[in-house]
Amino acid sequence: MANYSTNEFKSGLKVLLEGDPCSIVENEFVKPGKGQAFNRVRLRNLKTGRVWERTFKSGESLEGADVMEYEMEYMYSDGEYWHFMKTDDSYEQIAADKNAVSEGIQWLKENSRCTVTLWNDVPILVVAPNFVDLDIVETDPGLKGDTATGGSKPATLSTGAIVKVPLFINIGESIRVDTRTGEYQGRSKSA
Amino acid sequence: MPTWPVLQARGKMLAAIRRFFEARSVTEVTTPALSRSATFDAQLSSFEVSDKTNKLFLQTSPEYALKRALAVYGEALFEITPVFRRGDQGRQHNPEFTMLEWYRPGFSVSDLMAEVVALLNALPEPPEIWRAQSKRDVPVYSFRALFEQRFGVNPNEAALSSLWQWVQETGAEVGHLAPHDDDQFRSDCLDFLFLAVLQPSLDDIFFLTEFPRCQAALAEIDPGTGTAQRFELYWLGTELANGYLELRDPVAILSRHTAMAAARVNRGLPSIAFDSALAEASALMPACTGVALGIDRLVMVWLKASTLSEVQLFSWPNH
Repeated sequence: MANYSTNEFKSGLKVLLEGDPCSIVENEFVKPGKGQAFNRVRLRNLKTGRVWERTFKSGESLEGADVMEYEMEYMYSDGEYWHFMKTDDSYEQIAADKNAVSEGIQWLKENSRCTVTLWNDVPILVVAPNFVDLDIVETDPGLKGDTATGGSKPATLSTGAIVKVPLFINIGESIRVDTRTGEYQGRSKSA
Repeated sequence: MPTWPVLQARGKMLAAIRRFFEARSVTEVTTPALSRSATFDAQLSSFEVSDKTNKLFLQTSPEYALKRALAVYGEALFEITPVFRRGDQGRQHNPEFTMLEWYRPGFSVSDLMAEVVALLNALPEPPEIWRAQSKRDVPVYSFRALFEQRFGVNPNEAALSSLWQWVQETGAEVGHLAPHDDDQFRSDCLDFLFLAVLQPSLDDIFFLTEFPRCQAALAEIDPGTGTAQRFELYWLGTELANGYLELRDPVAILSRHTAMAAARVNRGLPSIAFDSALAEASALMPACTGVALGIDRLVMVWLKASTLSEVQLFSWPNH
């Protein structure tokens, strides 16, 4: 991969830092009148999702990272790997291990779409859409008509995820969840 | 890209600047943008332009050429000119920008700071922040005094190891700073401590004076305080102008060059030949102060923009 100098840094550029692929979130050139010019850079580690802040001497460079993001369809899991298929008519399939699917997988039902990040053609991260609709497979019985007290209870979804739902929600209903916070958003519109 | 009203405002500001200097009998001159000599400042990097026989540099400021003119004519003069600084690219930096620089024989540092304020007062349609500030004078802070109050030691005398420790104690990421046993490292640390520790409690708009000796550049050192007789104008954290009581002693200029050359070697930067024409001209020019003011940044803060690209046509990378 090519090397990128600080003056080529821009948000979205994928680079290697401490051996991990990172995406530049923000790059600011700082030059006080008399001191060393530097770049204050925020980078998201694509393996962990954590954001790092680093400063680099202006003119320093980082190695580019061969990172691609694809929209893929989640197919199935064999227990060890999770299998995905590209949606670009190539029908190309890839297998992601547990580290890559990490928390994203708890929101994915079979045949749903997600974003898979590949580094050197190996999947490192699976991100579910911001909102998903999933069926409830287990929860305490609903309290009919109780839409006002504002209480909540745990509910297990078809993917195994557990979210807090209002008391009036029942087994078999489909709900919408914000995957970034794990919060209940409402009953699914289509249900 | 600037809007048309922004370009109109910029044009009016430039016209007002020229009227201001005409009224004060400061003459506009034009010096070459291409020069045989480059700045030796370790923080600046020049663009090189070559033809078959010459290695030339685009000027990082008109300072050297204007000093040669001062040596010949000895009169107050100013220039508004493009300048070029390799690698300086960001929200408030562009590798090419417009600089206003002027020189005033017989002026002290305070005389020149007063003239900077007068110039800003002569500009059309001042923003509210300037109207409020100029009513109660622009405060003048001493770098030396601020530093002594906070760290209990004169910035010229603080040990490099203490400075480096204070930098690290700010908890900020400083991966870009590598310790060197030279004045440039002292300057880097002092600059960082000013930005991180001292500046946040200061006013929105202020002058800073009495800089440490290692930041003297081409300014005289005050024999009493040991501080550099330079000033800077800050506006909401942005440095707008930078002035000196100009150094005229060619021996002192050579020793500043030598110190910078060592810092350049320590940092693996290309060496810059000593410009004897600058040293000779400096010895011949009258006692004077000079100041450089970034026009694009001035327009930016005046119009309450936050990036140069809002006020500068075709800024990088769209040049």
